[in-house]
Amino acid sequence: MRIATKKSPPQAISTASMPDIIFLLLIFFMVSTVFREFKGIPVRMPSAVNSMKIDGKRNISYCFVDVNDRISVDDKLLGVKDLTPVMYLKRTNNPRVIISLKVDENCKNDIIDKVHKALQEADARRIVYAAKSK
Amino acid sequence: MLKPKQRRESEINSSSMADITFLLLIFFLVTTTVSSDKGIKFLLPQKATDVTPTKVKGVVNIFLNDDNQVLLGKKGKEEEVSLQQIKSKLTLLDREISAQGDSIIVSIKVTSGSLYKNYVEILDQVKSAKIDRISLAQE
Repeated sequence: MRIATKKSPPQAISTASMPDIIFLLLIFFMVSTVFREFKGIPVRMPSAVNSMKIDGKRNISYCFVDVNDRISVDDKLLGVKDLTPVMYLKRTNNPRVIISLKVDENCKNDIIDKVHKALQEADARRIVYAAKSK
Repeated sequence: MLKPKQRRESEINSSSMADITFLLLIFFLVTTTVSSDKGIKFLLPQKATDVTPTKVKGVVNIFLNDDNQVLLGKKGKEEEVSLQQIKSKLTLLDREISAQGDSIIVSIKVTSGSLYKNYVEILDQVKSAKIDRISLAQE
């Protein structure tokens, strides 16, 4: 005689809450996304032990300087003299602006000094020397 | 007698809602960059209009020349050190200066031909020595 096996009812996982979860994720990504406005120029950044994470991504503005002393801000190549008006504009648009200097490690300090002076002239004095952590 | 027409309830089909949200989610997932900005914070001084020399105690000079050699010490007592020794030398000088009742100020002077990475290394070592008062000399 065959014993009748118990047939368990089909177990379906409820997917009713799926749209809610997706919505939640969507809102998270929408809020946290900051669109990149630049590509920059290739630089080899120096490394430092005290390299800290910089908060306030929306306040950060990037200034690239490569080995050939080319300066790039928002994907535009600038001369040192043009740096002051550009930075002044950024400073007036956002008084809390932080300038992140992405400078190639093999650059000479001559160009850094010029950039410092241009930033002082523009009163954009909060800077960060971008560096990898050691 | 006229019978009132029974209206059928109109409903907006929301079954595609999840698909649309999925699509948006994937878009934001792809475009989001999780790059963290790291670096050494620094506050540049205000533009110098009228520089008057002042006598300040507790100043320690650090010079970096074109050959990337480092001189470190109190005024007139600078001696050559390697980049890695800066932290320990500064810690010693900090103790010495604090014992005299002053607080240490590090003045960094770099020549125009020196390398940026060495300048960052010096700043890094000064920060490692827990010194916040840094002066950057300009030409």
